[in-house]
Amino acid sequence: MIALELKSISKHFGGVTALENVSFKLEQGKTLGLIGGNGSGKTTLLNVITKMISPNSGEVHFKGKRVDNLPAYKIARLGIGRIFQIGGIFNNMTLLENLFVATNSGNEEEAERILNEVGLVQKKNEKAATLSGGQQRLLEFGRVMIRNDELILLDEPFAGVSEGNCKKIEEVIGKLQKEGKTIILIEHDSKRIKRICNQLIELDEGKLAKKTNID
Amino acid sequence: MIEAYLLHLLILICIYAILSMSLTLLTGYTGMLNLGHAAFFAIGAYASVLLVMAGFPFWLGFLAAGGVAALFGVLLSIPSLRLRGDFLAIATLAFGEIIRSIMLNWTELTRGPLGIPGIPKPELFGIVFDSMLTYFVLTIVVVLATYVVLKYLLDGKFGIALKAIRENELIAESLGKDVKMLKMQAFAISALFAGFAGSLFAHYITFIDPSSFTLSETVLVLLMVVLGGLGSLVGSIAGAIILILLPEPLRFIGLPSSMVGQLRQIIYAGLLIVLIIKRPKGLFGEQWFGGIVSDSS
Ligand SMILES: Nc1ncnc2c1ncn2[C@@H]1O[C@H](COP(=O)(O)OP(=O)(O)O)[C@@H](O)[C@H]1O
Ligand SMILES: [Mg+2]
Repeated sequence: MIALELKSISKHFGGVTALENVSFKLEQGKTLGLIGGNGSGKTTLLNVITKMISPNSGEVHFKGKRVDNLPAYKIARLGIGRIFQIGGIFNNMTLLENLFVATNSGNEEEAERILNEVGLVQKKNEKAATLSGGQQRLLEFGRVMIRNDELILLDEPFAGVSEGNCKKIEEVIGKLQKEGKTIILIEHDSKRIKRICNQLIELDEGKLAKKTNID
Repeated sequence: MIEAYLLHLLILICIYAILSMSLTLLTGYTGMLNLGHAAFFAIGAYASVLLVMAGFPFWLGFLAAGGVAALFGVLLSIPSLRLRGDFLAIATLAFGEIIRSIMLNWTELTRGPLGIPGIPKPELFGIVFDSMLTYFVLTIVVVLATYVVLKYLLDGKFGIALKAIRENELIAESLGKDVKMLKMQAFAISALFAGFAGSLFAHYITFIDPSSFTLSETVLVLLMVVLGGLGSLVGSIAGAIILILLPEPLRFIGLPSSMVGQLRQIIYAGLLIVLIIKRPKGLFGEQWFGGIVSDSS
């Protein structure tokens, strides 16, 4: 089954072309690596999928349904989750509160179980601002996990993260893959991409330059 | 005599505690600076008074005070969906001034600057709340009810969602939060309780005119919220207690009453400066109030 399909997406910012006529399909349960130089449109692509920005033209389909006409919060409720390139956590809220925003249950046991899985349970009542960069990423992974998102978009989750936390993040991604989640991973390290991803797409100045299967 | 004076202060504290709790929901939790809060207070006061003086029972006037104010809250939330930070603050300031000028100029309804005298004391279940003591009981019951309801809402997922909006709207939205709807609800609930406070105020003082609902009233309530610490209900109540009591000693040092009013303003301004320097998070707060005026996104 096709989890995600983009049909001829284009996005311009003034005179800058961030995306031009990008189309691809991603099968459920697969992990897609997204590469390309700085400013090639990778983050913009994720922004279009989650409707944080509207494309100038093209369509986004999730599990066979057109979603680009929905507001961002409704897209999120379909089970599309995201880890941001920068500033993705609520700094002045505790770790538990960060998770509670993401779920409607407010179930503390479940939140603690998730924090345990990402290795942060001992800091559950601390402000998220006190976490290191890698730990903040892991907290974002916790949010995706507690929401049980089906499609997970990862924007350079390893960038600026310590080696130990990189390992932990890779472990968490592995777990999500085993659960059958569909993932898009933006990442520069080609070895890591080969380890994690099934497919690869390269963007070059907003155009889809290359598609490869890794397996 | 001294008993009546103390009860008077307690009643004022109760009314302002309701106001400051209602404002901290909006400004402390959601991070939206509302410089027009006195307008909700005014709308509640006038709605209640006009209905009761037209012959409707007090309970209806009281509920309508909250309801009409909440409707205006929804109205004021509309610009908040587009504006942020300082721009939103200016829009709320304009709202407060517009409501005040309507009160001044729609004289057929409000009698304008002449005000409305002879407002009856409330009557509920056959009891007339015409003594200081009974009125204090009435207001403290409303304070407790306000606290319980707001505490329940703000400790639950609604409160957490509001805090998330304060921190970062875009991320809250990416987690499935309907930010526009939540902001609208925050404005409506905040205005609802401010409207109730307006009704209690009007039927206590028994005279209202537009001069009771100026910007300096909003600033006083805002100072209570900031003093107690943004995003803390208990702090808001503490702020109301401190700021109502603080200028009272001025009454006893024999100054002319015109000077007392001005000295009170100076005390408030001085307190605000000391607070910013010494305790920017307030007495019970978790967030620096600079955060509400700068754009968080
Ligand atoms: N909100 C925005 N406003 C204006 N230009 C933008 C915006 N977002 C991205 N861009 C531009 O679009 C291009 C692609 O950016 P981005 O998608 O962030 O690249 P990447 O994530 O691949 O580094 C860049 O030229 C960038 O400057
Ligand atoms: Mg990027």
